[in-house]
Amino acid sequence: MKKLFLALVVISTIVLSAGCAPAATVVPTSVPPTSAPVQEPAAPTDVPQPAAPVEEPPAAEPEPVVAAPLGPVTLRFAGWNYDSAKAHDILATYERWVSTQHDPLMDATVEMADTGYGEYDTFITTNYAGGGVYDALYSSDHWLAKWAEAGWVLPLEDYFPKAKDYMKDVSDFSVSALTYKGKVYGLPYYSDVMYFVYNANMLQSAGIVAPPTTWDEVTEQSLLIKEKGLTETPVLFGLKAGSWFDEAFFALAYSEGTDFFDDEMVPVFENDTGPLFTIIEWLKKSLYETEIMPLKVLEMAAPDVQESFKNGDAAFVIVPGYMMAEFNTPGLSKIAGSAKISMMPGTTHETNGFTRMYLLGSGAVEDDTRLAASLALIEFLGGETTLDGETTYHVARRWAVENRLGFSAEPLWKDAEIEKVFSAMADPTILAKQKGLARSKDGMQAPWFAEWIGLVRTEVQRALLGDAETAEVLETIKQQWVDLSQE
Amino acid sequence: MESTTLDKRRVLKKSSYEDKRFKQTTAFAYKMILPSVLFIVVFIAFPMFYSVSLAFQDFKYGVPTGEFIGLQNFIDIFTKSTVAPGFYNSLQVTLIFTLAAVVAVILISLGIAFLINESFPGSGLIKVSLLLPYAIPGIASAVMWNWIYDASFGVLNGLLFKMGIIDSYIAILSDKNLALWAIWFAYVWKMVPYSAFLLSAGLSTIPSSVYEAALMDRSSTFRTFFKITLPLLLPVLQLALVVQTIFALLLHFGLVFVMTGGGPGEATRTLPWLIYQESFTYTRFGRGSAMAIILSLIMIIFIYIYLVLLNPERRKARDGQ
Repeated sequence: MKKLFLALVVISTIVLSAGCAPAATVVPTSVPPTSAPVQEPAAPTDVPQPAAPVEEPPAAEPEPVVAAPLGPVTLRFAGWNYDSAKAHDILATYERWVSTQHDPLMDATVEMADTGYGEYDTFITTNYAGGGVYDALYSSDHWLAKWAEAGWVLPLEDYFPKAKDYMKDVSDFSVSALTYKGKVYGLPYYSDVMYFVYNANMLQSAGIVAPPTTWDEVTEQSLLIKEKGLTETPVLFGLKAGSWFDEAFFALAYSEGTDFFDDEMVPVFENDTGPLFTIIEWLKKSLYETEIMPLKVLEMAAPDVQESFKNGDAAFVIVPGYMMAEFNTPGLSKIAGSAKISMMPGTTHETNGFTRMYLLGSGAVEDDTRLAASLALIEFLGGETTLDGETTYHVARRWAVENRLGFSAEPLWKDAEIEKVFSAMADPTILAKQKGLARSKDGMQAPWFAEWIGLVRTEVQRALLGDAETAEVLETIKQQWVDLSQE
Repeated sequence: MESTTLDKRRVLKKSSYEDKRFKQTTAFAYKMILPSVLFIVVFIAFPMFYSVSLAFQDFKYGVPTGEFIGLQNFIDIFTKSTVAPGFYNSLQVTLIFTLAAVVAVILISLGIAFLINESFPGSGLIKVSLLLPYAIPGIASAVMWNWIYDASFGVLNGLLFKMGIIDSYIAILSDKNLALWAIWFAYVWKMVPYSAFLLSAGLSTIPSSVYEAALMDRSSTFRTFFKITLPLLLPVLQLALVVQTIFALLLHFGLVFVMTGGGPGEATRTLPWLIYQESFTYTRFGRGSAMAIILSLIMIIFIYIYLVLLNPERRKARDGQ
């Protein structure tokens, strides 16, 4: 009995192990349909049959036959929980639109799973590693290569050729963010640029007439502000290890004109000289010599910087553009009306532009109806559609007007409401000029980028903490890139 | 002769009955424990074996290639330039944290155990309030400590500033020399109650007569503790050490996740954090599993040391008893 029982335990374990062995994600190999399948209209059932040759009243015009909607289908959608209520409202609008105004009509509902942005990559990885799939999902630009290589997301243009046409209306840094191995993978959800923002009142109180244009000027003005006792922490950047670190780090690097890689993806930045070395050294001096930046920046992400700046703790910050809305809203910010944008200090005044996007998940190709509904969802969210008689980028427009979220679709700048809202937020001339000098993160096209940038965060923090020299750190991250690229 | 045969028959009949009874009882016992065994198989044994199998497989961007690579993942951990330095640092940080946490928890728990074993007015309330840190969910306590340590408006900074101990707020979680100890303190605060009650239960099993005898022999407090209390408490102390070591190696993860994310730099990048990073951020499940196996081996070594060094039989043999 005992032996039988033990045998049962062992067999159960083996069966479970075999049954739950990791399965490689199936990448569809069949040729994708280029358009959604269309149902044939139902044949009319009433056929008039006149019995006698008498004058009959004119036959009523046959009523238009409405094709039965495709579906029903429930789409599996994933995203992060930024303004979750609005996101769900938008999805409800999609469901209404696709069932009443889309061609073909579809009976589609969307189930959205969400989590915090900081945990989103882990959330998606865990789901896919566990055998789950999504039909459509949010992504950030720096995850696209990794997920595409894993087969978790599919090239949108293979199933929706119009996606390529959309790229003509999208800003340059977004085009490179939405593209992997020459194929368009998604449509933009939100795109933004890291701006240099200053507290105009604080500068005025310190007797400073214009914002700084170089990092040395930032130091000078910060020291003056400290001297006047206006704040002990004039400069705040979000340098906590995490996704927001990447945006700030690349903005700082680009401000001095750093090129990380050449066209062959070979690292070209210098170790002990050059713009990247200069900016890291400036950060170190700001922390320990001039003390214009507090050590707590190593535990601050962009949202933490946003809160501190709204509280009037800092004179200069680097944050995404959408945060300007709260900075200048009375009741939400102690410095309302005082937050202004200026061009990124530095040699080239360039900055980092990033794009969050909607991608087609590998689950979408399970059947034609699901695929059609998924493509309709992505186009509704990120493209130009006709809703209630109006044709525009409805969802991007709504995010822009209501939340001041940046967008990639250039035609939206002509929208009067958007122009009004963004002009109230910041100087539109500087907004446009800075956006024109925005670059997407170098190296993002490599599937090992996500792993490399994780190592960069740690190494740069080591340099800032004084655990390693800047030159040593730059050599290390260069070598790490080379090692990863050779795997 | 006949009685012998009858006796034999009776014995055979009795043993046959007992045998059947035994089988019935045993079958019933197995049925009773079957749910627990199934639970162990599904939630412990299977994940364990599965994880071990992953450690010998190759993964490319989160997808298994199906290739068996033997010990390559382990070799990479100890030698690869993109992995090894981080691994050695994590090992060092983990061992320092674990040793410091276990020593602190056990010592403080022992003191509290003596306290709560006494009966005095309000002792019941104190016992309940001592349990609170352990009762708070891990992530909730991590968020709470994150706020306490905050560099702009944390309670700790405010208190130290008001007391004149510091002249400006300290970025505790950004300081490479303080971050790990900040996590250590939060961890010790949370884990002390568990061991305190365990040791208190152990203390209550020591008969008071031995203390009375020691008193009559005019034994000092110091001598009583080392010659009577500690040896009699040894089995429970051994259990507490084993449990706290396992906890210290693993359960600080929530604190690191919420408070520092492994930073600043590598200051709080412990082995569990590295395993999480390898598996879920870098999608190298094979290497992550290999690191988990290494962590398990470290745990086994610790437990073996406790079991051998603190083995009561071995101690008696050593003391010549």
